[in-house]
This record gives sequence, C-alpha cells and structure tokens, in this order.
Amino acid sequence: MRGQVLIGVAVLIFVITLLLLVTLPKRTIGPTVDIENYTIAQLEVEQILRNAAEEAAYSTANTLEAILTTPTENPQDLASSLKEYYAEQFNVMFTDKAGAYAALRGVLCKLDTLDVEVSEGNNYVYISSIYAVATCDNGVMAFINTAAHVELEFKDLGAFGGVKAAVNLTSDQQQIQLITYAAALYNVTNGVTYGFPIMGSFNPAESVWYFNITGLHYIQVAVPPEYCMMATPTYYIAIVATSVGEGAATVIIAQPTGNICGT
Amino acid sequence: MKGQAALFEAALLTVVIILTFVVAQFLFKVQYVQSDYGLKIDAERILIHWANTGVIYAVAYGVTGSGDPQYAEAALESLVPPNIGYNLTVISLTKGVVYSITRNFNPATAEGATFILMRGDGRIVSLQLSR
Repeated sequence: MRGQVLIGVAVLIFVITLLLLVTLPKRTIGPTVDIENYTIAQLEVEQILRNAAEEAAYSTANTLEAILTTPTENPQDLASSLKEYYAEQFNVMFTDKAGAYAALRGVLCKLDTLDVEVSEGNNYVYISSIYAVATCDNGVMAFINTAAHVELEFKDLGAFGGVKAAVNLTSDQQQIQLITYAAALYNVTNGVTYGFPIMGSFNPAESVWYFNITGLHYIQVAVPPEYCMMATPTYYIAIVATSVGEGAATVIIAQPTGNICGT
Repeated sequence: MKGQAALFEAALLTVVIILTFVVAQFLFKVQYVQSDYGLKIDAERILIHWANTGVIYAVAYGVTGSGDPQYAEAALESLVPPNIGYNLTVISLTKGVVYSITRNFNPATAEGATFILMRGDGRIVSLQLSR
C-alpha cells in the first residue's frame, strides 16, 4: 500500500513536470542585449515624435478653415490661433501613433511637454520652433527640438502674383537638407473659407520633394490673376515645409495687404 | 515475497524518477533556444544606424511610399559581409508585406531585430541575419 502511494506521488510529479515544461514559454540562453534594445525603443519613440511634428504641420495646413473662417485684421490673433491649432493637431497625431505603437510593442507612451512657438514677419506668420518630450512606461524618454526660420516676400510676376519663401529648417541645430513642401490658397468670403492646392498637396505622400545641400530652400508659388489682382485681398497663402523623419516642420500663413500683380 | 515486492516497488520508483529527470532534461533543451547574439546585435545596430541617419525612411517608404528595395539592398550589401545571409522585410501596418529581399538566408540559424516607424500608415522593418 505504501509502495503504491509512493508510485502515485512519483507519477504525479512526472505528469506535473511534463505539463509545466510543455506550457513554459520558450527562452533563449545568453546575455540580453539591453543597450541595443533600449536604443531601438528610444529611437522608435523619437521617430513617433518626429513623425507627429511633420504630419501635424500637414494636417494643420490642410484644415486651416478652422482658424481662417473668421479673418482677423490682427496678425497676433492669427499667430496665437496657429500656435494653438498646431499644438492640438500634434496631440492628435501623437496620440494616434502612440496608440498604434502600444498595440504593437505593449509600451504606452505619453506626451509630457509640447512647446510650440510662432513668429511673425511682414504680412506672414509661421511656426518657428517645436519642442516635445515623450515618456513611456518602460522608462524610455525621447524628445525633439526643431526650429524654422522663414523670410517671405510677395512678387509681382505680371499676370500672376508670386510668393517667395526662403525656408530654413533645423533639427538639433543641424540644417535640414531634404524637405517636402506644399502650398495652397485659402479664400475667405462671407465667413466661408474655400481652399485649393497651388503646389503639391497637403499630404506627405503627395508633396514636393526638395533637396538643397545648403539647407536653405526657396519655395516659390504663383497666385492666380483673379486673386492677385484684389486690392483688398481676402485670401491667404498657406505653405507647409517639413523634413523627412527629422521632426522639423513649419506652417506659413501669408496675407498680402494689396494688389501683388499686374503692374 | 514481501521483500521482493518492496524491491520491485523501489526499482519502479527509481525508474520513474530517473525517467522524469531524463524527460525534463530533454524538454528543457527544447524550451531553451540557442541564440546567436552576435547576429542579433548586428541586426539591431544596423537598424539603429539606419534610424540615426534617416536611411530607414528610404528603406521603408522611399519616394513613392512603397519602399525602395534597390536602395535597401545596396545599403545592406555595404554593411553585411558575404558569408552572412539576410532577409529584410518591410511590412505596412495596414497593407501587409510591402517587399522582402533575401540573400543566402537560412531561417534555422537566423537572428534579427525589428524597427517600428509610425509615419503615415506605419511600417515594421524586420531585419534577420543568418550564418
């Protein structure tokens, strides 16, 4: 009787061992590659921030009706609207991407800091710097620090009006050589905004690619005669310029104060 | 008679216990997978280098958005020695596999790494190396 119990216990141990071993997850022998794993995780989050910054610029420019429907005489209002609207778009983009990333890697990241600065020139405003920090529940922290400088002027091209923007994008003080850009015209009449593309399209996949070794990019677009002839312009020119995967981006909104062609 | 039965039981118990250990050893060997960390680190470092230099965007998206396998192949050929096989697969998060390029790849000895990009519809770049 005692022997049977012993055999029973042994068989039980045998069966439990088998079950445990079969259900245990597979493991690998050897050291873990912590440094490389962390670097990849950190770079992935940094790329999410960079992509969010760039796509938020396109998204902002593509839906400028939101802030142009009520045209304002005061450029400072336009500047603060642009700043707020871009920050909103950045948040939407980041949340969307972080959600997809969490589903893939099981790592939840959140946007800790977002500082957007807008600068003004003569008849134009633009996003001049973006600083964003993200932290994740696996301890990864990533940030982007990018800036833009824009000089814009209106040109009289005879039948057409012209807009020439000298754009300089930097990421961590490094000048960006490869950019994508697009431009559109938004006309506001009776509180209704109508926009149409005049160069490329406000979509990173359909925009214009521009490489310049100096990092200075001249974006030149034409304004159709029916608009450039306006003595009291009701239209805005919106230009987006972004890096490709480096997190630098700007949205320029320009409004001439008078006729810019036909002289 | 009683002594023989006890002996038999003891023998049987010993056999079962030894068998348990033998099977456990065998199963543990199955559970643990021998990994080639040299290849894993190499694959991770290639992806890190690509991410730092922006090459990964050319590999995953290209100008057209559907990747640039020729560029990727040239980039890999310049980094991976001839005795190492590779398999590079770019996967779109919405459309599935965008493209895959392979050279002397042996899945049995492969190790690798993946990099996730979230531009547009998102990409997973998977680089596997083998001896």
